[in-house]
Amino acid sequence: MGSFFWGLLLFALLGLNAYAASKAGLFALRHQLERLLLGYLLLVLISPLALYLLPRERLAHTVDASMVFAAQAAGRDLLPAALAGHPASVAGARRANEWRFAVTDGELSIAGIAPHLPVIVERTASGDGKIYVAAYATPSIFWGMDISAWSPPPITISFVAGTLTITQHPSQDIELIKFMPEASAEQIPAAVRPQADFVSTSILGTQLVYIRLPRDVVIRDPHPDLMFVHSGAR
Amino acid sequence: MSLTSPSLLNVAKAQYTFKLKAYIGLFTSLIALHAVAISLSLSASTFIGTSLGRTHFSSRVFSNELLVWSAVLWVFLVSALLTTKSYRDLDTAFVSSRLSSNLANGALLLTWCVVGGLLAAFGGGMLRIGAFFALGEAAIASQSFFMTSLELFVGAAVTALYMLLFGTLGYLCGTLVQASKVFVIVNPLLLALALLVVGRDSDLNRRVLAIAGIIAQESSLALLALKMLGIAGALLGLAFLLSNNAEVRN
Repeated sequence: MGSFFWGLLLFALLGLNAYAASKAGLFALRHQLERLLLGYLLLVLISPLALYLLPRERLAHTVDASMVFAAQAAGRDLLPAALAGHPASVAGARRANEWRFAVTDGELSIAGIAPHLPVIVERTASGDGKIYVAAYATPSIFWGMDISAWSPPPITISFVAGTLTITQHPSQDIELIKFMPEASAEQIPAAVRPQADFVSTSILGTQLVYIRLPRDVVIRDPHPDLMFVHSGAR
Repeated sequence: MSLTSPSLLNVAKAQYTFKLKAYIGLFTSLIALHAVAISLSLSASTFIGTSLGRTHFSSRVFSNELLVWSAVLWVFLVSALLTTKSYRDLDTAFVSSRLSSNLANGALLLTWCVVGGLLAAFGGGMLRIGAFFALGEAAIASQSFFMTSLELFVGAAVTALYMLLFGTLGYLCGTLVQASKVFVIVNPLLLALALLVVGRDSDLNRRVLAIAGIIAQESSLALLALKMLGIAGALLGLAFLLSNNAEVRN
Protein backbone atom coordinates (compact mmCIF):
# COMPACT_ATOMS: atom_id res chain seq x y z
CA MET A 1 0.00 0.00 0.00
CA GLY A 2 2.89 2.30 0.78
CA SER A 3 4.00 2.16 -2.81
CA PHE A 4 0.88 4.02 -3.90
CA PHE A 5 1.72 6.85 -1.56
CA TRP A 6 4.18 8.49 -3.95
CA GLY A 7 1.85 8.22 -6.90
CA LEU A 8 -0.99 9.66 -4.88
CA LEU A 9 1.26 12.45 -3.64
CA LEU A 10 2.23 13.35 -7.20
CA PHE A 11 -1.40 13.34 -8.29
CA ALA A 12 -2.35 15.42 -5.27
CA LEU A 13 0.36 17.96 -6.14
CA LEU A 14 -0.77 18.10 -9.77
CA GLY A 15 -4.39 18.47 -8.69
CA LEU A 16 -3.56 21.13 -6.13
CA ASN A 17 -1.57 23.08 -8.68
CA ALA A 18 -4.32 22.81 -11.29
CA TYR A 19 -6.88 23.97 -8.71
CA ALA A 20 -4.74 26.90 -7.60
CA ALA A 21 -4.10 27.85 -11.20
CA SER A 22 -7.77 27.60 -12.16
CA LYS A 23 -8.62 29.94 -9.28
CA ALA A 24 -6.12 32.43 -10.67
CA GLY A 25 -7.51 32.26 -14.20
CA LEU A 26 -6.63 30.44 -17.44
CA PHE A 27 -3.61 32.57 -18.27
CA ALA A 28 -2.07 31.81 -14.90
CA LEU A 29 -2.88 28.14 -15.41
CA ARG A 30 -0.62 27.96 -18.46
CA HIS A 31 2.26 29.62 -16.64
CA GLN A 32 1.72 27.47 -13.55
CA LEU A 33 1.60 24.38 -15.72
CA GLU A 34 4.81 25.25 -17.55
CA ARG A 35 6.53 25.88 -14.25
CA LEU A 36 5.18 22.65 -12.78
CA LEU A 37 6.29 20.60 -15.78
CA LEU A 38 9.76 22.12 -15.71
CA GLY A 39 9.95 21.48 -11.97
CA TYR A 40 8.94 17.85 -12.43
CA LEU A 41 11.44 17.39 -15.26
CA LEU A 42 14.17 18.89 -13.10
CA LEU A 43 13.19 16.62 -10.21
CA VAL A 44 13.43 13.56 -12.45
CA LEU A 45 16.78 14.65 -13.88
CA ILE A 46 18.41 15.17 -10.50
CA SER A 47 16.91 12.04 -8.93
CA PRO A 48 19.88 9.74 -9.87
CA LEU A 49 22.19 12.23 -8.14
CA ALA A 50 19.88 12.51 -5.13
CA LEU A 51 20.43 8.79 -4.52
CA TYR A 52 23.91 9.61 -3.24
CA LEU A 53 22.39 11.82 -0.52
CA LEU A 54 20.29 9.02 0.97
CA PRO A 55 21.59 7.26 4.11
CA ARG A 56 23.67 4.19 3.25
CA GLU A 57 22.88 1.95 6.24
CA ARG A 58 20.35 -0.02 4.26
CA LEU A 59 22.66 -0.89 1.41
CA ALA A 60 23.71 -4.52 1.12
CA HIS A 61 27.01 -4.86 -0.70
CA THR A 62 27.89 -7.49 -3.24
CA VAL A 63 30.42 -10.06 -2.08
CA ASP A 64 33.08 -11.86 -4.10
CA ALA A 65 34.09 -15.52 -4.09
CA SER A 66 36.73 -15.08 -1.38
CA MET A 67 34.16 -13.46 0.94
CA VAL A 68 31.74 -16.33 0.38
CA PHE A 69 34.41 -18.88 1.32
CA ALA A 70 35.47 -16.76 4.31
CA ALA A 71 31.86 -16.57 5.53
CA GLN A 72 31.49 -20.35 5.19
CA ALA A 73 34.74 -20.92 7.07
CA ALA A 74 33.77 -18.44 9.80
CA GLY A 75 30.41 -20.17 10.26
CA ARG A 76 32.22 -23.49 10.64
CA ASP A 77 34.96 -22.23 12.96
CA LEU A 78 33.01 -20.01 15.37
CA LEU A 79 31.73 -22.68 17.76
CA PRO A 80 35.04 -24.59 18.06
CA ALA A 81 36.86 -21.29 18.58
CA ALA A 82 34.34 -20.22 21.24
CA LEU A 83 34.68 -23.57 23.00
CA ALA A 84 38.41 -23.00 22.97
CA GLY A 85 37.83 -19.62 24.62
CA HIS A 86 38.59 -17.23 21.78
CA PRO A 87 35.53 -16.55 19.60
CA ALA A 88 36.89 -13.18 18.47
CA SER A 89 39.84 -14.87 16.79
CA VAL A 90 37.68 -16.18 13.93
CA ALA A 91 38.24 -14.12 10.79
CA GLY A 92 34.98 -12.48 9.74
CA ALA A 93 33.18 -13.07 13.05
CA ARG A 94 31.92 -9.90 14.63
CA ARG A 95 30.72 -8.99 18.09
CA ALA A 96 27.11 -8.10 17.30
CA ASN A 97 26.31 -6.83 20.79
CA GLU A 98 27.58 -6.96 24.34
CA TRP A 99 26.18 -6.54 27.83
CA ARG A 100 27.56 -6.21 31.31
CA PHE A 101 25.73 -7.01 34.53
CA ALA A 102 26.70 -6.89 38.18
CA VAL A 103 26.21 -10.12 40.15
CA THR A 104 24.23 -9.29 43.26
CA ASP A 105 24.58 -12.64 44.97
CA GLY A 106 26.75 -15.67 44.38
CA GLU A 107 24.43 -17.54 42.04
CA LEU A 108 22.33 -17.10 38.93
CA SER A 109 20.23 -19.06 36.48
CA ILE A 110 20.38 -18.87 32.71
CA ALA A 111 17.07 -18.96 30.82
CA GLY A 112 16.19 -18.96 27.16
CA ILE A 113 18.72 -21.53 25.97
CA ALA A 114 17.60 -23.09 22.69
CA PRO A 115 19.30 -25.73 20.53
CA HIS A 116 19.73 -23.35 17.57
CA LEU A 117 21.58 -20.76 19.64
CA PRO A 118 24.71 -22.07 21.37
CA VAL A 119 25.44 -20.50 24.75
CA ILE A 120 29.03 -20.88 25.97
CA VAL A 121 30.21 -20.04 29.45
CA GLU A 122 33.77 -19.14 30.27
CA ARG A 123 34.75 -19.18 33.90
CA THR A 124 37.03 -16.28 34.77
CA ALA A 125 39.16 -15.46 37.75
CA SER A 126 37.92 -11.87 37.62
CA GLY A 127 37.07 -10.46 40.99
CA ASP A 128 35.03 -7.46 39.79
CA GLY A 129 31.73 -9.30 40.35
CA LYS A 130 30.49 -8.66 36.82
CA ILE A 131 29.10 -10.89 34.09
CA TYR A 132 30.18 -10.08 30.54
CA VAL A 133 27.90 -11.33 27.80
CA ALA A 134 28.61 -10.99 24.09
CA ALA A 135 26.75 -12.14 20.98
CA TYR A 136 29.04 -13.20 18.14
CA ALA A 137 27.87 -13.65 14.59
CA THR A 138 29.44 -14.64 11.29
CA PRO A 139 28.53 -12.96 7.98
CA SER A 140 25.20 -13.71 6.33
CA ILE A 141 25.00 -13.70 2.56
CA PHE A 142 21.82 -13.74 0.51
CA TRP A 143 22.02 -14.11 -3.26
CA GLY A 144 25.55 -12.81 -3.29
CA MET A 145 24.91 -9.85 -1.00
CA ASP A 146 26.23 -9.22 2.48
CA ILE A 147 23.17 -8.93 4.71
CA SER A 148 25.03 -9.26 8.02
CA ALA A 149 23.39 -6.05 9.26
CA TRP A 150 19.99 -7.80 9.07
CA SER A 151 20.83 -11.40 9.88
CA PRO A 152 21.05 -13.44 12.08
CA PRO A 153 18.14 -11.99 14.08
CA PRO A 154 19.24 -9.81 17.00
CA ILE A 155 19.54 -11.21 20.51
CA THR A 156 18.53 -9.39 23.68
CA ILE A 157 19.90 -10.29 27.10
CA SER A 158 18.42 -9.19 30.39
CA PHE A 159 19.45 -9.91 33.96
CA VAL A 160 16.59 -9.61 36.42
CA ALA A 161 16.21 -11.17 39.85
CA GLY A 162 19.23 -13.42 39.46
CA THR A 163 18.16 -14.79 36.08
CA LEU A 164 20.05 -14.12 32.90
CA THR A 165 17.47 -14.34 30.11
CA ILE A 166 18.46 -14.79 26.47
CA THR A 167 15.81 -13.78 23.97
CA GLN A 168 15.99 -14.30 20.24
CA HIS A 169 13.24 -13.77 17.70
CA PRO A 170 11.90 -17.19 16.75
CA SER A 171 11.81 -16.28 13.07
CA GLN A 172 12.82 -13.42 10.87
CA ASP A 173 11.67 -11.84 7.63
CA ILE A 174 14.24 -10.09 5.50
CA GLU A 175 13.26 -8.17 2.41
CA LEU A 176 15.82 -7.39 -0.23
CA ILE A 177 15.28 -4.82 -2.96
CA LYS A 178 17.06 -5.11 -6.27
CA PHE A 179 16.82 -2.87 -9.30
CA MET A 180 17.20 -4.05 -12.85
CA PRO A 181 19.64 -2.07 -15.00
CA GLU A 182 18.02 0.67 -17.08
CA ALA A 183 15.67 -1.26 -19.39
CA SER A 184 16.74 0.33 -22.69
CA ALA A 185 20.44 0.45 -21.81
CA GLU A 186 20.39 -3.34 -21.43
CA GLN A 187 20.36 -3.61 -25.21
CA ILE A 188 23.86 -2.11 -25.26
CA PRO A 189 25.86 -4.50 -23.01
CA ALA A 190 28.82 -2.13 -22.75
CA ALA A 191 26.62 0.41 -20.92
CA VAL A 192 25.48 -1.92 -18.16
CA ARG A 193 27.60 -3.02 -15.22
CA PRO A 194 28.23 -6.77 -15.15
CA GLN A 195 26.37 -8.67 -12.43
CA ALA A 196 28.30 -10.39 -9.65
CA ASP A 197 29.23 -14.03 -10.28
CA PHE A 198 27.81 -15.46 -7.06
CA VAL A 199 24.26 -14.18 -7.30
CA SER A 200 22.71 -17.46 -6.12
CA THR A 201 24.90 -18.00 -3.06
CA SER A 202 23.11 -17.76 0.29
CA ILE A 203 24.66 -18.38 3.70
CA LEU A 204 22.93 -17.84 6.99
CA GLY A 205 25.45 -16.62 9.55
CA THR A 206 26.18 -18.57 12.74
CA GLN A 207 25.43 -16.89 16.02
CA LEU A 208 26.31 -17.69 19.59
CA VAL A 209 26.20 -16.17 23.06
CA TYR A 210 29.44 -16.06 25.01
CA ILE A 211 29.23 -15.49 28.74
CA ARG A 212 32.23 -14.65 30.91
CA LEU A 213 31.26 -15.54 34.44
CA PRO A 214 33.32 -15.16 37.64
CA ARG A 215 34.47 -18.56 38.85
CA ASP A 216 32.80 -18.15 42.26
CA VAL A 217 29.30 -17.56 40.81
CA VAL A 218 27.19 -20.72 40.85
CA ILE A 219 24.82 -21.54 37.96
CA ARG A 220 21.51 -22.84 39.29
CA ASP A 221 20.09 -25.88 37.44
CA PRO A 222 22.32 -25.58 34.37
CA HIS A 223 20.53 -26.38 31.10
CA PRO A 224 21.81 -29.54 29.36
CA ASP A 225 22.60 -27.54 26.20
CA LEU A 226 24.75 -25.04 28.08
CA MET A 227 28.39 -25.41 26.98
CA PHE A 228 31.57 -24.51 28.81
CA VAL A 229 34.93 -23.43 27.58
CA HIS A 230 37.38 -26.31 27.82
CA SER A 231 39.27 -25.93 31.07
CA GLY A 232 42.72 -24.58 30.59
CA ALA A 233 41.97 -23.18 27.17
CA ARG A 234 42.77 -19.66 28.26
CA MET B 1 2.24 41.28 -52.72
CA SER B 2 4.54 40.72 -49.80
CA LEU B 3 7.90 42.45 -49.58
CA THR B 4 9.45 39.60 -47.56
CA SER B 5 9.84 36.04 -48.71
CA PRO B 6 10.24 33.85 -45.63
CA SER B 7 12.42 30.77 -46.05
CA LEU B 8 11.01 27.30 -45.49
CA LEU B 9 13.23 26.71 -42.47
CA ASN B 10 12.26 30.01 -40.84
CA VAL B 11 8.57 29.24 -41.20
CA ALA B 12 9.08 25.69 -39.92
CA LYS B 13 11.06 27.07 -36.97
CA ALA B 14 8.32 29.57 -36.13
CA GLN B 15 5.70 26.81 -36.37
CA TYR B 16 7.81 24.51 -34.20
CA THR B 17 8.19 27.16 -31.47
CA PHE B 18 4.49 27.91 -31.59
CA LYS B 19 3.49 24.24 -31.47
CA LEU B 20 5.87 23.51 -28.62
CA LYS B 21 3.95 25.96 -26.46
CA ALA B 22 0.49 25.34 -27.93
CA TYR B 23 0.66 21.56 -27.43
CA ILE B 24 1.75 21.78 -23.82
CA GLY B 25 -1.37 19.79 -22.96
CA LEU B 26 0.01 16.79 -24.84
CA PHE B 27 3.30 17.13 -23.00
CA THR B 28 1.40 17.32 -19.69
CA SER B 29 -0.15 13.96 -20.52
CA LEU B 30 3.37 12.49 -20.88
CA ILE B 31 4.30 13.81 -17.44
CA ALA B 32 1.07 12.45 -15.93
CA LEU B 33 1.68 9.09 -17.61
CA HIS B 34 5.25 9.10 -16.30
CA ALA B 35 4.02 9.70 -12.73
CA VAL B 36 1.46 6.90 -13.09
CA ALA B 37 4.10 4.56 -14.57
CA ILE B 38 6.42 5.21 -11.59
CA SER B 39 3.58 4.51 -9.19
CA LEU B 40 2.66 1.29 -11.02
CA SER B 41 6.31 0.20 -11.28
CA LEU B 42 6.59 0.51 -7.51
CA SER B 43 3.68 -1.84 -6.95
CA ALA B 44 4.32 -4.18 -9.89
CA SER B 45 7.72 -5.46 -8.83
CA THR B 46 8.77 -9.08 -9.32
CA PHE B 47 8.58 -10.93 -6.01
CA ILE B 48 10.72 -13.96 -5.10
CA GLY B 49 10.67 -15.63 -1.69
CA THR B 50 12.71 -18.38 -0.03
CA SER B 51 13.46 -19.67 3.46
CA LEU B 52 16.80 -20.45 5.03
CA GLY B 53 16.51 -21.91 8.51
CA ARG B 54 14.15 -19.74 10.51
CA THR B 55 14.77 -16.79 8.25
CA HIS B 56 12.41 -16.01 5.40
CA PHE B 57 13.91 -14.00 2.60
CA SER B 58 11.93 -12.15 0.02
CA SER B 59 13.38 -10.26 -2.86
CA ARG B 60 11.65 -7.56 -4.86
CA VAL B 61 13.03 -6.62 -8.22
CA PHE B 62 12.12 -3.26 -9.71
CA SER B 63 12.51 -2.21 -13.32
CA ASN B 64 11.86 0.96 -15.29
CA GLU B 65 10.54 -1.06 -18.25
CA LEU B 66 7.05 0.34 -17.74
CA LEU B 67 8.39 3.91 -17.94
CA VAL B 68 10.02 3.12 -21.28
CA TRP B 69 7.05 1.41 -22.89
CA SER B 70 4.52 3.94 -21.60
CA ALA B 71 6.61 6.70 -23.22
CA VAL B 72 6.79 4.72 -26.49
CA LEU B 73 3.03 4.13 -26.46
CA TRP B 74 2.42 7.79 -25.66
CA VAL B 75 4.53 9.07 -28.56
CA PHE B 76 2.80 6.67 -30.99
CA LEU B 77 -0.61 8.01 -29.98
CA VAL B 78 0.26 11.72 -29.93
CA SER B 79 2.06 11.44 -33.28
CA ALA B 80 -1.09 10.06 -34.83
CA LEU B 81 -3.02 12.81 -33.07
CA LEU B 82 -0.79 15.50 -34.62
CA THR B 83 -2.08 14.57 -38.08
CA THR B 84 -5.74 15.11 -37.18
CA LYS B 85 -7.64 18.10 -38.52
CA SER B 86 -7.99 19.92 -35.20
CA TYR B 87 -4.23 19.95 -34.76
CA ARG B 88 -3.53 20.78 -38.39
CA ASP B 89 -5.88 23.78 -38.15
CA LEU B 90 -3.36 25.44 -35.88
CA ASP B 91 -1.09 25.82 -38.93
CA THR B 92 -3.50 28.38 -40.37
CA ALA B 93 -2.00 30.91 -37.95
CA PHE B 94 1.03 30.97 -40.26
CA VAL B 95 1.68 31.55 -43.92
CA SER B 96 2.96 28.05 -44.35
CA SER B 97 3.11 25.02 -46.58
CA ARG B 98 2.45 21.35 -45.81
CA LEU B 99 6.17 20.75 -45.93
CA SER B 100 6.94 23.40 -43.31
CA SER B 101 4.15 22.04 -41.15
CA ASN B 102 5.49 18.50 -41.47
CA LEU B 103 9.02 19.67 -40.72
CA ALA B 104 7.77 21.44 -37.60
CA ASN B 105 5.91 18.28 -36.57
CA GLY B 106 9.05 16.22 -37.14
CA ALA B 107 11.10 18.58 -34.97
CA LEU B 108 8.38 18.54 -32.32
CA LEU B 109 8.37 14.74 -32.39
CA LEU B 110 12.15 14.69 -32.02
CA THR B 111 11.96 17.06 -29.02
CA TRP B 112 9.33 14.93 -27.34
CA CYS B 113 11.40 11.81 -27.98
CA VAL B 114 14.48 13.36 -26.37
CA VAL B 115 12.48 14.56 -23.35
CA GLY B 116 10.61 11.25 -23.15
CA GLY B 117 13.90 9.32 -23.32
CA LEU B 118 15.35 11.43 -20.51
CA LEU B 119 12.20 10.99 -18.41
CA ALA B 120 12.16 7.21 -18.88
CA ALA B 121 15.87 6.69 -18.14
CA PHE B 122 16.23 9.20 -15.28
CA GLY B 123 12.85 8.06 -13.90
CA GLY B 124 14.81 5.05 -12.60
CA GLY B 125 16.18 7.45 -9.99
CA MET B 126 12.66 8.42 -8.90
CA LEU B 127 11.76 4.74 -8.77
CA ARG B 128 14.71 4.04 -6.49
CA ILE B 129 13.91 6.98 -4.20
CA GLY B 130 10.25 5.87 -4.05
CA ALA B 131 11.23 2.29 -3.17
CA PHE B 132 13.74 3.55 -0.58
CA PHE B 133 11.06 5.41 1.34
CA ALA B 134 8.09 3.13 0.65
CA LEU B 135 9.92 -0.02 1.83
CA GLY B 136 11.58 1.47 4.88
CA GLU B 137 13.05 -1.67 6.51
CA ALA B 138 14.25 -3.54 3.46
CA ALA B 139 17.87 -4.16 2.53
CA ILE B 140 18.85 -2.62 -0.79
CA ALA B 141 21.33 -4.22 -3.16
CA SER B 142 23.94 -1.49 -3.47
CA GLN B 143 25.24 -2.66 -6.84
CA SER B 144 21.94 -1.93 -8.55
CA PHE B 145 21.00 1.13 -6.48
CA PHE B 146 23.26 3.71 -8.05
CA MET B 147 23.03 4.48 -11.75
CA THR B 148 26.11 5.23 -13.82
CA SER B 149 26.16 8.21 -16.16
CA LEU B 150 26.85 5.87 -19.09
CA GLU B 151 23.82 3.76 -18.22
CA LEU B 152 21.66 6.89 -17.99
CA PHE B 153 22.96 8.36 -21.24
CA VAL B 154 22.63 5.13 -23.22
CA GLY B 155 19.23 4.38 -21.66
CA ALA B 156 17.91 7.83 -22.59
CA ALA B 157 19.37 7.58 -26.11
CA VAL B 158 17.97 4.10 -26.82
CA THR B 159 14.54 5.02 -25.43
CA ALA B 160 14.51 8.22 -27.51
CA LEU B 161 15.38 6.17 -30.61
CA TYR B 162 12.57 3.67 -29.96
CA MET B 163 10.22 6.58 -29.33
CA LEU B 164 11.28 8.12 -32.63
CA LEU B 165 10.65 4.85 -34.45
CA PHE B 166 7.19 4.39 -32.98
CA GLY B 167 6.46 8.12 -33.19
CA THR B 168 7.13 8.22 -36.93
CA LEU B 169 5.13 5.01 -37.34
CA GLY B 170 2.24 6.66 -35.51
CA TYR B 171 2.64 9.76 -37.69
CA LEU B 172 2.50 7.62 -40.85
CA CYS B 173 -0.56 5.73 -39.56
CA GLY B 174 -2.23 9.06 -38.75
CA THR B 175 -1.37 10.47 -42.17
CA LEU B 176 -2.80 7.35 -43.85
CA VAL B 177 -6.02 7.73 -41.88
CA GLN B 178 -6.22 11.40 -42.87
CA ALA B 179 -5.61 10.47 -46.50
CA SER B 180 -8.43 7.95 -46.48
CA LYS B 181 -10.79 6.99 -43.67
CA VAL B 182 -10.62 3.42 -44.93
CA PHE B 183 -7.35 3.11 -43.03
CA VAL B 184 -9.23 3.51 -39.75
CA ILE B 185 -10.33 -0.08 -40.35
CA VAL B 186 -7.50 -1.28 -42.60
CA ASN B 187 -4.63 -0.35 -40.22
CA PRO B 188 -5.77 -2.38 -37.18
CA LEU B 189 -7.10 -5.11 -39.47
CA LEU B 190 -3.74 -5.44 -41.19
CA LEU B 191 -1.98 -5.54 -37.82
CA ALA B 192 -4.32 -8.21 -36.45
CA LEU B 193 -4.03 -10.25 -39.66
CA ALA B 194 -0.23 -9.99 -39.63
CA LEU B 195 -0.10 -11.11 -35.99
CA LEU B 196 -2.41 -14.03 -36.77
CA VAL B 197 -0.46 -15.18 -39.83
CA VAL B 198 2.94 -14.73 -38.21
CA GLY B 199 1.74 -16.44 -35.04
CA ARG B 200 0.55 -19.54 -36.95
CA ASP B 201 3.40 -19.92 -39.38
CA SER B 202 6.54 -20.76 -37.40
CA ASP B 203 8.82 -20.27 -40.41
CA LEU B 204 7.38 -16.82 -41.09
CA ASN B 205 7.55 -16.10 -37.37
CA ARG B 206 11.28 -16.87 -37.41
CA ARG B 207 11.81 -14.62 -40.41
CA VAL B 208 9.87 -11.72 -38.82
CA LEU B 209 11.83 -12.13 -35.60
CA ALA B 210 15.06 -12.09 -37.61
CA ILE B 211 13.99 -8.83 -39.25
CA ALA B 212 12.99 -7.34 -35.88
CA GLY B 213 16.32 -8.54 -34.52
CA ILE B 214 18.10 -6.13 -36.87
CA ILE B 215 16.98 -3.45 -34.42
CA ALA B 216 16.15 -5.28 -31.19
CA GLN B 217 19.43 -7.24 -31.10
CA GLU B 218 21.76 -4.48 -32.20
CA SER B 219 24.33 -4.04 -29.43
CA SER B 220 26.16 -1.00 -30.81
CA LEU B 221 24.59 2.35 -30.01
CA ALA B 222 25.99 4.03 -33.14
CA LEU B 223 24.67 1.31 -35.46
CA LEU B 224 21.34 1.23 -33.64
CA ALA B 225 21.05 4.99 -34.05
CA LEU B 226 21.88 4.74 -37.76
CA LYS B 227 19.31 2.01 -38.35
CA MET B 228 16.60 3.72 -36.29
CA LEU B 229 17.19 7.13 -37.85
CA GLY B 230 17.14 5.55 -41.31
CA ILE B 231 13.84 3.78 -40.71
CA ALA B 232 12.30 6.79 -38.94
CA GLY B 233 13.46 9.04 -41.78
CA ALA B 234 11.90 6.73 -44.36
CA LEU B 235 8.60 6.55 -42.45
CA LEU B 236 8.50 10.31 -41.98
CA GLY B 237 9.41 10.88 -45.65
CA LEU B 238 6.56 8.62 -46.69
CA ALA B 239 4.20 10.51 -44.43
CA PHE B 240 5.43 13.84 -45.91
CA LEU B 241 4.83 12.57 -49.44
CA LEU B 242 1.36 11.33 -48.61
CA SER B 243 0.32 14.57 -46.93
CA ASN B 244 1.83 16.74 -49.69
CA ASN B 245 -0.22 14.90 -52.26
CA ALA B 246 -3.43 15.35 -50.28
CA GLU B 247 -6.17 17.72 -51.38
CA VAL B 248 -6.08 21.30 -50.03
CA ARG B 249 -9.07 20.85 -47.73
CA ASN B 250 -7.60 17.59 -46.30
